[in-house]
Amino acid sequence: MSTIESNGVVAEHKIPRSHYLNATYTVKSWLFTMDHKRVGILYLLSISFFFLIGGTFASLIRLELATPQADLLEADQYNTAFTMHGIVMIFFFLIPSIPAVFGNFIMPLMIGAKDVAFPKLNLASWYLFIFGGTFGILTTLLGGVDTGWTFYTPFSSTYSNGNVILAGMAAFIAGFSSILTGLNFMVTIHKMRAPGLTWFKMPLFVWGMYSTSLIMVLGTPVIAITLVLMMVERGLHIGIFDPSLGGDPVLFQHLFWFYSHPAVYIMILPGMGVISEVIGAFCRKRVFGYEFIAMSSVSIAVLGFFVWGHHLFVSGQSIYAGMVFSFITMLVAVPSAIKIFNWMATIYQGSVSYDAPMLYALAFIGLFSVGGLTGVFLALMGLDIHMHDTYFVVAHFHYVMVGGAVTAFMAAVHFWWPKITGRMYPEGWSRLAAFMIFAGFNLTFFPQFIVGYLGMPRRYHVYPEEWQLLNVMSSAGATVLAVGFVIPAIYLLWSMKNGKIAGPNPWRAVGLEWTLSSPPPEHNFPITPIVEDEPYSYGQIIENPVIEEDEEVGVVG
Amino acid sequence: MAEHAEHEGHHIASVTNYLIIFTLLLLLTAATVGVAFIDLGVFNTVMALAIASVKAMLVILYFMHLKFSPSQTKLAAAAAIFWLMIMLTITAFDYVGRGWQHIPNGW
Amino acid sequence: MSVSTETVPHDHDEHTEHPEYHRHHYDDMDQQNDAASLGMWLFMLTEVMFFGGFFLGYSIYRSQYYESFVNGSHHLAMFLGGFNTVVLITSSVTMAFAVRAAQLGKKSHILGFLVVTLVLAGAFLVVKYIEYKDKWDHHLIPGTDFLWTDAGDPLTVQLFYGFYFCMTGMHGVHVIIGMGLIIWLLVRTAQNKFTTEYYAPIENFGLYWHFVDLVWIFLFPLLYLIGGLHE
Repeated sequence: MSTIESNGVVAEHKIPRSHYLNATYTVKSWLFTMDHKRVGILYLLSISFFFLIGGTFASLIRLELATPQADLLEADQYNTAFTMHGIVMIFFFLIPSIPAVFGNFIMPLMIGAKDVAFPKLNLASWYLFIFGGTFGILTTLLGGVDTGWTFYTPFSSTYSNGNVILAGMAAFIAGFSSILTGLNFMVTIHKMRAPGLTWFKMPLFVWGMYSTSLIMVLGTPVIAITLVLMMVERGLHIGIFDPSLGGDPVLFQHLFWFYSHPAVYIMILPGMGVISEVIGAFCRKRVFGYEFIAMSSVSIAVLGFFVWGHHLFVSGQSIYAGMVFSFITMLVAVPSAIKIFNWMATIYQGSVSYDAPMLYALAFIGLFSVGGLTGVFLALMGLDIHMHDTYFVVAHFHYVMVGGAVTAFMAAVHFWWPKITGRMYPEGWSRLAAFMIFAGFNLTFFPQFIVGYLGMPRRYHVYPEEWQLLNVMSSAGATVLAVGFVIPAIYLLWSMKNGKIAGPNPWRAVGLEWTLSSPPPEHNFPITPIVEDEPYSYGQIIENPVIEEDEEVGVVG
Repeated sequence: MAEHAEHEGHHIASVTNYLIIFTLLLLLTAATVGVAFIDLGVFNTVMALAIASVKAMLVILYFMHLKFSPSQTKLAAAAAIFWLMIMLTITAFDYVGRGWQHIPNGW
Repeated sequence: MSVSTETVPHDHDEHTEHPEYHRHHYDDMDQQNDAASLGMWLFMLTEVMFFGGFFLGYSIYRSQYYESFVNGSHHLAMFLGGFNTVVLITSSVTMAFAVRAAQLGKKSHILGFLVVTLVLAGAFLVVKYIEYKDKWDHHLIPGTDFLWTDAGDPLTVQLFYGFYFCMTGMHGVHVIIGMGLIIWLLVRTAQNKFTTEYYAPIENFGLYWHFVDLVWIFLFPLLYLIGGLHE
């Protein structure tokens, strides 16, 4: 896409002579970088690798479940497959994903900062992530772990034959990476905004990142200590959760879910921030109810800490605590619903264009609604007794995590790819992939709602024959989904050398990041911007086009 | 530039101030040991926590300079205590509630 | 979003004098110091939640097995625990004085107070070693042929000792880390890295050290002083 100047001439974009990618070339300059943009790229490469590993385990699961009998995997091996799938996807893909890649790359640009508050700590976060990931890979190579990603005691601490401590260390170390990233982002947002950028002028993606960081800082330490206690029990035989000593396994569940429930909001809030940005840009309209969306992000972050007991409804937790958790869980759906309504109101009477990022955003709205609503079903104790540990739950969380978070991640990749690389990807292929992912996803997971409601338990490698059709549909869908994910990998890599040059603002979007060249300069803003406008001031741009001679300015209407 | 509240660290405490707090902390330590020897039933725990909390507040407010810090910092410290309380209180509610339930005998 | 023509100048070509400690991505030292301080307080927040998990488990089991906790606590050396409490509180004071000396730019005082803090931390660890060794000798370390012959249910007393070792052990790890950081600060102070304008690392480490003291302020009564007089 090129800029059309006022005299009707189509200008050719050029890659800027010097930018953050070509400023230095050595491996050392990458491995010792303190540039938040490069740290974002390092994370992008790392999490893509882990997505591949997690996806491989998913393929094993769906291959096995295509038939009712155990033909591919034995019970122990199957347990290992779903455990590793969960651990890798949650701790090494989803939780870092949008924050570590786009929070790092884009967020400081959005607030007009030169970098994050603690660049060395940022790099340390990545190294911790890699260190934790090494433990994860080691766990896999040594035969994996079979406790479920939830590590419930006393199986994990006493009876399992898997590599529990290695896996626990992987998650523990990755947790510290997460804590330090969240801390870095909170300080950055508090202290490094450009002059004039007040809290309610910040883009909604920054609000999303702030809320996510709150959860990372407050919640992750608890999973850290929980894993320590579990590993101490297993490794040193010090009874903490051991019932034979009078210990309570449910205490482990309380401690585990106190983090792991807010963790799901770590996975979804950045995605919601992305969707706000994409919808604003592709409807060319101020996001409806900006303040409500901003405050709803913070509310979800806070309220999310009060609901963890809904994972413990059938564990032996007291009914009275269950009632409290059930009620608050229903409340926490409200801010999410507010966002959905506001996004729909933004789209209404907007000037909509259906590029790939927007397709993913539209998919998000539908899929997250399904996932979120089924979550409300599960929040009802009576229903949960029937559906706990069935495929209904599996379908619910995949709708929000894949249909929600991963879809938003794809939207972010497609939205900011031109900014990060300076290149556009082929439009046709990107739309095809979006449709394939949408179709494949629904074919994979919708049947799981049905088969789960009918009673098929999760974490089983065998099932009664009457459910085979639904399982085969699910496995077929998984194949389509896999292909859907491979296609962008190919065209995105292709585009880095062969894609059309994007220019500073191919989407004609509003935001500080779009005022910089694509790729951005090494030190971001040559002069610190002073912010005067409201966020998403799309209307104003169309009315008052600004054309600068001899300059690439992204604000031409 | 972003947020420019009063600056922590510009307040320089006096030697006397620190020594007074130090003395108070030592006295409270002696108090907590002393109280432990008196049988107050459940109030032993209450007193122990209360004295520890007072000692903690002295350290936080004066040694960590929270008293002279921007309100943002005070908010962060308050948030820490609040979140800890959420975790302790609601979990405790589970355990307390188990005693209220009537578990039927067998099926 | 329109970009105003007014700007905050930070052109790399006219490189105004930048002390080494003023990092490039900050506009001025006030912003940098504010950020560093907020960062350390947020880290304290994470530590509160980290130790909080221990306190949660401890409080649940103490309420369920109070007698066992009383019995288990009786074997802990209240005098040594109290002594350690005084040691840590004193080290907190000396750390506060070290920060004060930094504010006043008195290098020799900084060094002196940091050294005293370090020595006190070392003393704390020596006492802990003595205690742990005593427990080892009496077979009171869970997981290593734990043997309880005094009053109370051995199984749940073992739970008490599990928490005793985990909590004081984790606290001890933080003391060791603290000692390492003090040594780092001593080296940098000796190298004249700190001025009255820039002493944030000392101040922020001080916050960490006070936190270590805070955890012990709660651990001492909760572990050592349950049920008062020892038989």
